[in-house]
Amino acid sequence: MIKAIVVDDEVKNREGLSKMISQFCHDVDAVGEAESVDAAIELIDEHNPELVFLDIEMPEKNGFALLEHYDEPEFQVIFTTAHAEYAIKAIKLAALDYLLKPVNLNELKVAVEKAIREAANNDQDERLSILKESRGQGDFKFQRIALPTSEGVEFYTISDILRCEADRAYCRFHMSNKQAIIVSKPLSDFEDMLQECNFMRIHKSNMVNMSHVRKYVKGRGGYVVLTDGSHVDVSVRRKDEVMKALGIN
Amino acid sequence: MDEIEGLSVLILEDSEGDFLILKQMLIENGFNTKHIRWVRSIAELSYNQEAFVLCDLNVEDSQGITTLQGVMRLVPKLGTSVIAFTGEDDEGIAQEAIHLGVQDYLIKGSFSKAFLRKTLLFAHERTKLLQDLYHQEGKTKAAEHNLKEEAMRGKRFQLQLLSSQLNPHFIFNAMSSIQHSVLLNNVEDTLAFISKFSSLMRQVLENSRKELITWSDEELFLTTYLDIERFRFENSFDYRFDIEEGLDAESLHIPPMMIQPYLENTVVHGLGNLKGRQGEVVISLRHENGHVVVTIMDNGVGRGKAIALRSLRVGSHVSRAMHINEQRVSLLNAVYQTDLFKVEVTDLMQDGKPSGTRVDLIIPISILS
Repeated sequence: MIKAIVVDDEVKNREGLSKMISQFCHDVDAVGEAESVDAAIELIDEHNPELVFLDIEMPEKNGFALLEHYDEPEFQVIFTTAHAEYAIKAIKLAALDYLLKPVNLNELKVAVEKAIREAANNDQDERLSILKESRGQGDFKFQRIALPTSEGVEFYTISDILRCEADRAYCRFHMSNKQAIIVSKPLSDFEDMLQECNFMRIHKSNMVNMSHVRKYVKGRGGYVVLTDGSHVDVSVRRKDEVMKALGIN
Repeated sequence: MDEIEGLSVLILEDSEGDFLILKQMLIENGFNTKHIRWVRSIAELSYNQEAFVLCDLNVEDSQGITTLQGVMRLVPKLGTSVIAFTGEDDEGIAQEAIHLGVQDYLIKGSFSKAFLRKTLLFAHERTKLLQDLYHQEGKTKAAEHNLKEEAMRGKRFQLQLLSSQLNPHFIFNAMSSIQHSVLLNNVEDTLAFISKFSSLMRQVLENSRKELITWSDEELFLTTYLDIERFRFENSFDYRFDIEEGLDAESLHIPPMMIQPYLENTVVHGLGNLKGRQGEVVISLRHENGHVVVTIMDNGVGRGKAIALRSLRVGSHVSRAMHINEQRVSLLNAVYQTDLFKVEVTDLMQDGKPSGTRVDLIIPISILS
């Protein structure tokens, strides 16, 4: 049995989630609710929970502020949000977990199981640090990405990624040091967040770091040459968009 | 060069001798001729458009440049070449004639048959060119007009799209409230909430199809919305309407979805942060200088505090909500081609402390119908 607390500024959200946990997650004991970051800190110090459900959007201090308070939190975090698209990108980039409100019961169960499993892995600190370092004044600036591989989560600097190649349910990250990392998620899962980092889907099967494009060679769709000398096809449909992004008329 | 052969020339000339000489030259060149003596005869002709009008400046019913002015007024603007001919060589009149749109200016007795042919041919070409240009210009203007129409349609569509959108935050949080009622087995509340929420959705759908809705529809919509928020925030605030006396709520028309986003801002940011005291929001409506002014006034934390609180929030959704509101106002102004739609926000102070916020929405109803 692990202990959990629920942090949310809206009372109905807190009560509802606590209720769901106690009714449907038998491994978890919801020991308390907090309506703000400050109240949450008190509650955490008191109960020492293994799991914190953390609302992102709260007045005064938002959910991320709680994490700034702890250098290396001893609890696992599951974020909750009604609709914070941009924050979700950051959370996904750090391979952290989140639930959308209203909470889906199955997603809740999966997230809880995962949190219990990962409590042993002890790499949450690194993932949280990705989130923390990406937080600028008011928005996000991403530097690193957490990639789930068959061996666990691996951390990479985004500017070292040349391109991501789709391979059915997997994708392959090609790095500037010639390394290729196989990730157990489809390319579409990374598309949104990498778009924020100057990546562009230039073909059905390739998303390219535009900062690594050395030149564009014309053709029906044409192709780009990357800084490592590799060629990547541009699809006919995306040609105009790619040329525009590269500032070619 | 055969293309001008068979074209007809109307000759305005009251001297029989001059007419015969001219007619001879024209017939030898292959033209058909018609003869009139007075300017006014042009108006009386059953007008089968002539390719050319050759006119003497001095005829019985008109003298000098006045003759040309009369002729130019009476012949169709396009497709007819008017050429003046006269006994005296006067550069001033010649210039004035060209200015009026006359194609050429000939001196009697100074031209040959071949010269006349060339003059008419060139005049005809210039006239055709002018005609083409005129049509082209018409097409360009029509195309420009179409583009403008297209842009306006786009703006109307954008406005309609914005009108059909509630803030996703509101929708999902409302859904969370209902989840809460279900988890507490609160059947009555759950049923009431589902009905309210369905009613709100239906109103959004119906209202967003219209460019204008009646005040009574708008008030119903705002009431439904506020009831849902009151449920979500556990009745932590009250609201009331303060409508000017004698208002005919069925005949006053305003654009849909202009007020609710500002009201939502008030509820979530102004009243949502109140601790321990009851919030209140008053929606008032009055006529002022031919406009309708809707005022939203709350006793919340005030804008300064709300902004400070907001800046601690994550990401950009709040500023985006505000951005959408501003976009709506500017779209309304664009669609109705005015700059009279306005939103003014005032910070309320009491004893030097922030005591709420007041939002005035100015709706220029006179230009809406």
